Amino acid sequence: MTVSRPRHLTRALALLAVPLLAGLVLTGCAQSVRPHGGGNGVPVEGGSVSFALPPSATPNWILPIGMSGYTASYNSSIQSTMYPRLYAFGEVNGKLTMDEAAGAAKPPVYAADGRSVTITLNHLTWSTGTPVTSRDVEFWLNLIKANKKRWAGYSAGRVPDSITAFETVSADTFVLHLDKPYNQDWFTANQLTLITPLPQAVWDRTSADGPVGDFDRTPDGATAVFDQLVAAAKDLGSYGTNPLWQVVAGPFRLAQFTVDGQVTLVRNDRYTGPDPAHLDEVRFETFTSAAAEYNVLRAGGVDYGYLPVSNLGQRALIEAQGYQVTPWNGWAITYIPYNFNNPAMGAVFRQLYVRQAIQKSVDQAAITRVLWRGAATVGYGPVPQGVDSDYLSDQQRANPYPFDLDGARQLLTAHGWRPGDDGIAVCANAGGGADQCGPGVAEGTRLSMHILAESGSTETDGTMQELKSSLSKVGIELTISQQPLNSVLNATVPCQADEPGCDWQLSFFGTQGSWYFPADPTGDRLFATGSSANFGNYSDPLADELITKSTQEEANDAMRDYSAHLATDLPVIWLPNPAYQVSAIDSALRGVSQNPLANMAPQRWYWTR
Amino acid sequence: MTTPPLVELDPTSGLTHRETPRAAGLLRRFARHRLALVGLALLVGLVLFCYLGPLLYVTDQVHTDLGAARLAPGSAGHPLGTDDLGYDTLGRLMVAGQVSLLIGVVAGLIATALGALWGAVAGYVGGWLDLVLMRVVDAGVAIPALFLLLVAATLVTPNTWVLALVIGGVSWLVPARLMRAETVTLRERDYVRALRVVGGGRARAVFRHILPNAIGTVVVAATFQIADAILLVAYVSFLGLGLQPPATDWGGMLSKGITYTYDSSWWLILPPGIAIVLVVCAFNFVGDGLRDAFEVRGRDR
Repeated sequence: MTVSRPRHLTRALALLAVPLLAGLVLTGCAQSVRPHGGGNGVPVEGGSVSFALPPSATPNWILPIGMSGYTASYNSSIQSTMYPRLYAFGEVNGKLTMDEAAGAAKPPVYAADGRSVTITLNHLTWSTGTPVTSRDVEFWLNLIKANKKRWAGYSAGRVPDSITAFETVSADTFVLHLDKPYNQDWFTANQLTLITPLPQAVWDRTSADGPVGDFDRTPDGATAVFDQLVAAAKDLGSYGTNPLWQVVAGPFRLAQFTVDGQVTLVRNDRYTGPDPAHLDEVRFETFTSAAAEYNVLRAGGVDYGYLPVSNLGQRALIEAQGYQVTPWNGWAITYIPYNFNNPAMGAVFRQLYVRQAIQKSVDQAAITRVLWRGAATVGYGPVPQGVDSDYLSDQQRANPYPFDLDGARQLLTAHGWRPGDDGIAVCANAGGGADQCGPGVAEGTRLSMHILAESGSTETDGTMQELKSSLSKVGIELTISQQPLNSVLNATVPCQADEPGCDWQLSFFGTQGSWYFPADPTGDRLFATGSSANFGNYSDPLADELITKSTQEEANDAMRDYSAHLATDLPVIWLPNPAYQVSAIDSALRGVSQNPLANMAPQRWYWTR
Repeated sequence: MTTPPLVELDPTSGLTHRETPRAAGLLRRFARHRLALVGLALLVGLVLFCYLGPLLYVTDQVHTDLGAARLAPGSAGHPLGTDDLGYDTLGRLMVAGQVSLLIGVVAGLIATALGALWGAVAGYVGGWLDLVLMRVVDAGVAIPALFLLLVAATLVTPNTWVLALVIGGVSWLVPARLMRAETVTLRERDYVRALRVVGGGRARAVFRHILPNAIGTVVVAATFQIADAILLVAYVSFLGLGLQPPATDWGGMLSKGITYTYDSSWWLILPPGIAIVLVVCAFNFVGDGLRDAFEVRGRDR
């Protein structure tokens, strides 16, 4: 007989040895800790900082015009240190407000009729020595107008469609004429923030070595210029050497940009604006996983990193190493959309009492405390709750549907649902009456639904199991399948009941937050009937009316009404919103403000050591 | 056609038409193998732990209990602590063990049965059929089983039976080679040749003479296949492509526990890890014992 066995034993032992060895190796790594912390609070000019990018995040786009596939927030963060946008927003005293120093212009002045806005630029200078002028803004507008379909920020009817004419008043002042009056706060926060002055005197050419001209002023010319810039931006290997990218107006300029995403910025000594950099250098480090980043952090290898939630128990250890551990709360909401057009469950989802029963089965406090270990904030409606704002209604803040399994069960029982043999509720009284299952729900329908959830996160896995468990106690069956984020996003599309891709019922893609807003968290893209990111085809006349009001009228009343209405009407299952990350920042590094819009301003960072 | 009488062809050769050792001798030789007895005792212990344990130590392994998450061993009512969702670790170890053992045994048996039949047919028939069948095996062996498993796990939602079938379906190649080699030697034995001479059919030869005489090889291969299958399940679960929660197996428990390594949550890592090592060792020890018990030539025959 020739059966051999040693490899089986070896493999069994190897399986156990992997975690043990990993632990030993990591312990070994932790022995060589680089010093962090200390400092006397007195600012020290110069020095360098290494910053850990999110897991698997590799910057891949330098052109400050977002294109599909290149819209990651770290790309725009890096771009805005070199090419300041017209306006930037950040958190001041716990509220999102305009960050005047970080923007390229002074606050906009709207005409009395709301149909035009006058903008005066700050005194910024390109690194060629020429000032940033109105012509540089016109250049951006011309490029976008001629190529709007290729621009990731485009939405029909919005910028540039809403800008009917560009009028140059002087070298540093211009007027944008609008097609109709808008809510001015919204227009500034969500539309003018898209505009970035570009160095027309260097970039306005149709080939890499061609002459500079006014090519952008004709649509064909603008397309040729745009093509040339995009081609240069796609050549990652040349970022460090291409002179195009050396002409900057922001507090930093590019020193290195490798194809695998390692980026180094150095101070722009020719910066003339109000927000100069204190550091000599900022290095952006890439990591394949959160665990890999954490290992480097434990070894003191980064100055500004993050703790995976599963390692939050190590907070004291990291703090003892000289880091300050603090969550970076995002201006985002997290939710599970219902597919109201799903052939099997759409009619059930359209019943408000069913959505209420489901929402009452979500124990947000426990999920936040236990699964996210406090690195998330509860969210009961369409306005982010991690950061205080005037948009938040009292109804949303108070949670209209607190965790209450008995209440959830009673809602179902009161509407004609009875537990089946397997404990899953079955519609026993079909019809549209007050004590019946509701229009479109057939007798015998089982309250069984399926969720497609993002894989790869311990916290998301736990949340899904917790939902499955608590829903089962109410009589609702939840089956879960998990796929990578991109697959979930591809499957979660607005659809009609008879279309093949409409079989998804519930979907979750919010491990890092489902939706990040611009400064004004209007629901025009999320919950307006037919809008592009209204994945579940939610449609409610009152919600539409409130959304329209919130983008076109002054005052925040419309936003608060919208917040209150959607917190009670439940277009989605509201869930806790995870922090963007739990940062570990060298305690001697000061000036750090963790912008909820997920942008950063490294020019304000400084060492005190 | 009549079956030829089953007679001893050459009493001095030591070869009979059936070499299967008698049960008593088999047991005696097995009992002499101390490690095998340890393995057997371990297996019985693990089976009792997994199947009788939950009857004596009742826990809820379906509903989460976030209020009791990540309790350390010794906490009230949780001798081995709880995991991040509040499942009792000891109770979960029992339930997960049922899954690991069930998948391992079913997959091991499927792989052995399929492999034995494939190898026996190839070895007995020989010629071009042997060539084709064994090239199929060679091609299959060239593709790592883990790779095939991962592909399968992404195509279908895994449950216990799907995993058992898929693992069995990718693990039969080695037993097939083993059985073919054994068959090639058996085929030349006098009693098989005699069967051919009197016109016995191929099916009869394979099922009545080849397979029964290779039972030792088959049984030993089965024990190792089971051990292998349990490990493969553990691998797949460790990579996050195993059973859908709340179902779990030891590999899945281990994978989840690793997340909390830095938090020193050893009770989430060591129990499933040790269970995997124990069950694989136990099957291997039993396999060793059986091999020695069946392997009688040159010993105390």
